[in-house]
Amino acid sequence: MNVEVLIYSYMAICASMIVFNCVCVFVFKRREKKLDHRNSALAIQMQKEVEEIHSGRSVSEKHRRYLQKKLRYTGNLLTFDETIGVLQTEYPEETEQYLLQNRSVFIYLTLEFEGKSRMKEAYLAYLLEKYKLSANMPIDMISNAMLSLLKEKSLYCRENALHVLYSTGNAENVVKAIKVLDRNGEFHHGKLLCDGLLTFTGDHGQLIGMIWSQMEEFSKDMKATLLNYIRFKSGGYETEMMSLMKDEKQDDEVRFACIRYFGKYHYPPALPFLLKFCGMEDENRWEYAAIAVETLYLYPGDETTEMLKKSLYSSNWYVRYNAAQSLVRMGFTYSDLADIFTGNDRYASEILEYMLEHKDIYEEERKKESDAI
Amino acid sequence: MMDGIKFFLKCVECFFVIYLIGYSSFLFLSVCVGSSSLYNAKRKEKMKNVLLHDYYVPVTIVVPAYNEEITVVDTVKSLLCLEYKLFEIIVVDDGSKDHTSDEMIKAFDMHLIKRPIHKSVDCQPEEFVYETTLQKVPLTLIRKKNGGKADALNMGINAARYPYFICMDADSVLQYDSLEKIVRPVLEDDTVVAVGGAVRPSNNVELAYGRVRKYNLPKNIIACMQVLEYDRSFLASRILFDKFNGTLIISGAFGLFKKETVIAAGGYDHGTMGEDMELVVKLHQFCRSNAIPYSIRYATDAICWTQAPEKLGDLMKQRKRWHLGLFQTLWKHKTLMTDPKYGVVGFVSYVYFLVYELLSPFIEVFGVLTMILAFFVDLINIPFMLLFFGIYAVFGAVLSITAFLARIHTIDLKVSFKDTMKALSLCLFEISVLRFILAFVRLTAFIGYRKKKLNWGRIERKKINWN
Repeated sequence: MNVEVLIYSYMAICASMIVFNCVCVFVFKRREKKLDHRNSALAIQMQKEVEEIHSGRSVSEKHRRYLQKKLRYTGNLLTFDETIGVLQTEYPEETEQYLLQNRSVFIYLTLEFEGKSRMKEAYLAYLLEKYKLSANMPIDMISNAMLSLLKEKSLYCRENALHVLYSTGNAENVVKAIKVLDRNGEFHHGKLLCDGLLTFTGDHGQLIGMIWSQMEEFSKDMKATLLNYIRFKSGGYETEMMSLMKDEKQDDEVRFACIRYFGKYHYPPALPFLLKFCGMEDENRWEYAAIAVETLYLYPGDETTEMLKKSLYSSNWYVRYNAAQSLVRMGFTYSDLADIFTGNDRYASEILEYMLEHKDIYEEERKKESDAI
Repeated sequence: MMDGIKFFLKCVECFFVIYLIGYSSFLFLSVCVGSSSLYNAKRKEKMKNVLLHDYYVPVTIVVPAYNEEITVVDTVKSLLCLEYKLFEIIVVDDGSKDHTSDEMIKAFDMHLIKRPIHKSVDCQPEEFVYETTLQKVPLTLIRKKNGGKADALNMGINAARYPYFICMDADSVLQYDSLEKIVRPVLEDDTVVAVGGAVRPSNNVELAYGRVRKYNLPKNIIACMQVLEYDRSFLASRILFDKFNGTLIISGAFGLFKKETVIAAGGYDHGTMGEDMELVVKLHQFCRSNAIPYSIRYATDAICWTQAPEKLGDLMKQRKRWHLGLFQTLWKHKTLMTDPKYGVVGFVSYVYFLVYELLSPFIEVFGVLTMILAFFVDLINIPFMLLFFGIYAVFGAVLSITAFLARIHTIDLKVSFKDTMKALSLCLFEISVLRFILAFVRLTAFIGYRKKKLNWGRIERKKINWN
C-alpha cells in the first residue's frame, strides 16, 4: 500500500474527528437552548391548565390532545416530568387533579410506545409509578403493557414495570408478574425483587397467600427469594415454612431461607430440626450448621446451650463464629462460659472472647453516646 | 551491504505501517465506542433507565495504608460521607514507620480488641486490631507486619465480613455516590466477579463531602496532562475492553471484587508490583480454566478522585512501577496468549497489552534507531518523516480531546473556557513530549527491578481537602 494513502486517511480521520467535536459542542449548546424553549412552551400550557383547575374548571379535551401529540417525544416527556415537579410545589392539589384528569393520555402513550422504544417504555413506566397514574386505571390495559415489559432484556424496563405493578396494589397481577419473570429466564436479582415486593401497596396477606398456594410452580431461586420476602413481612407462616424446611427434596437455598425464618420468628416445634442441622458439618453441608447455629439464640435452654458450646469447637470458621455470636446474644457472660476459656481449644476461646469484648465495647460506646446527648 | 540495509529498512517500514495501523485503529475504535457509550449512558440516566433502589449489596471497603499519617484520617472521614446504606471500613496499616495507626485511633476513638482473623488468603500476621461502632458504619483498624500492598489487601479480604470488597488507596476520595454506582453491575448480572471504577485526578478539584464543588483542570502542567491521559485510558480503551469482557486492569485506586471468587483464585499476589492488574488477569484465568461463567465490568460513573503526581520524578517512579507490574503480570500469565481456551481475553486484550503497552517503548526506540541508520545511509525522506510525526501527534491529540470532551458533555461538570483552551493546547504536548519521556522511563524500568519487590511506590502526599 502506498504510505501516502495511509497518511491522507489519517488526516481525513483527524479532520472528521475535529468536525465531530465541534458539532458535538454546537449540538449540546443548541439542545440546551432548544429544551429550554420546549420547556417553556409545554410548561406554559401545563401551568395554564393547572391554573384553570385552581379556578374550578377541568382539563380541556384540546389540552389532552395536545399532550398526546407532544408526549410522544422524549424531550417533552422529560419536560413534563420536570414541570410537574415544579407545579407540585406551587399547586399540590391542583397538580394531582391535573394528573388524574390526564390519565387517559398515559393509557394512549402506553399503547403508542408498546414494542417501539424500550427506553421510552421504561421511562413511561417510571412516570406511571412516580405519579401513581396507574391507580384506579383500567387494570388490564396497564398491567398487560407492564407484563409485556417484563419480558424485556433490559433490567431497568423490568424493574420500572414491576414498580408500577406493586403500586397498583393488585396481588393477582403481582403474582402473574413473578411468574413471567421466573419463566423469562433473564437474571433478575433476588434482592431487587424481594425489596420491591415489600413496597407492594395492596394487602400483603392476600399476596403471600397467593404465593403460598402456587409455591411449587416457581423455580428454586424464585422460591428462595419469595421466602425471604415472606420472612421480612410476616410471622404467621411457621407451619408452611416448617414443612418446606423438612423436605429434603427442596433446594438448599430454599431450606436455608426457611431456617432463617425461624431465626426471626420464635417457633418451638422447629428447635429439634434446627439442632439437627447444627450437627451437619460435613464439607458440603456446613452452611446448614452455620445458619442454624445463628438462629439458636431465639431458643434458650440447656439443649441449645450445649449445642452452641459444641459448635464452638467446630472445624468450620463460620459455625464457630455464629455459635459464639449466639451465645453472647443469649446473655452469657465470661463466668458462664468459663469451661470454654479453661479448655484446650484456642480457636473456641478466641472467638468467644472477641464476641464478649465486642459486646462490652458496643455497650460502652452506646452509653457514651447517650451520655453525650 | 546497501541492498541488505535497504531490505532491512523495507521490512521495518512494513512492520511500522502494520503496528501504527493497529494502534491508531484501536485508539479510534476505543474513543468512538467509549464516547457513544457515555452518551448512551447519559440518555439512559435522564430517562430513568437506572436502578432506583436504596438498598444495595453489603460491601467492605479495604484501605491499605503505609506511612499515610497525613491522609488516612481524611480518607476515612470522606468514606464516612458516602451515601450508601450497608458497608464497613477496614484500614490495614502495613507496618508503617510513621503514626498512621495512632492517628486513626485518636481521630475515631477506637478500642483495642482481640479479634481472631480467618486467614483465607496468605498474609503477614496482625500485630493488633482496633474497632469502633461509634461511626456511621463499623470501622476496623488492623496493624500488621510489613508485607507490601498486596499483603495488606489480603489481610483486608481476610477480615472482611461482607461478600463484596472494595480496594482503594489511602490518598483517594470516593465520590458520594460511587458505591451505589459500582455495585449496580452486580445487581444487573450475577456472574459479575469484579467491577472497575473510574479514577480521576483530584488536583485542583474542590470536593466537599465527596461532591465536586468546583471542577478545574490542575494548575500543574504534569498533572493536567495526566487528566487527558486518564480520560483517554479510562473513558475510551476500558469501555472498549468492557464490551467483550476483556478488561485486564482494574485500578488499585478503586475496584470492587466478589470475595468468594478472589479467595478461590488465591487473593492478591505478594510478588508483583502490579497486584491490581495481576488479580484481574488471575480472575480471568481462574474462571475460564474452571469453566465458571463470569464477567468483569467497568462502571464509568463510579468515580474515585486521586492525587496525580505533580513532579516529573514522582510520575516517573509511578510509571516505572506500573510498567514492571505489567511485565510481571504478563509474564506470570503467559499461557493466556498461547492457550485458545482463554479466547478473546488472550488474543485481543493480552496481545494489546503485550504489544502496545509492554513492548511499545522498545519498539519506539527501535524505530528511532532505524531512523538514525536511515539518515546515515541517506535513505530517509525528512519532510515526509516530519509530516508523518505531525499527523501521528495530531491524531493522538484529537482522540485525547475527543475523550476529554465526551466526559465533559456526559458528566455534569462545567469546565471554563480557559480550561478547555488549556486542554486543547496540552493534548498535543502530551502526545508528542510526555509520551516519549514516559516511553523512556518504561524502557529503563527494568534497571534495579528486583530491589523494589515490596516497595509501596511512594509519591509526595498532600493533605486531602475533603470538606
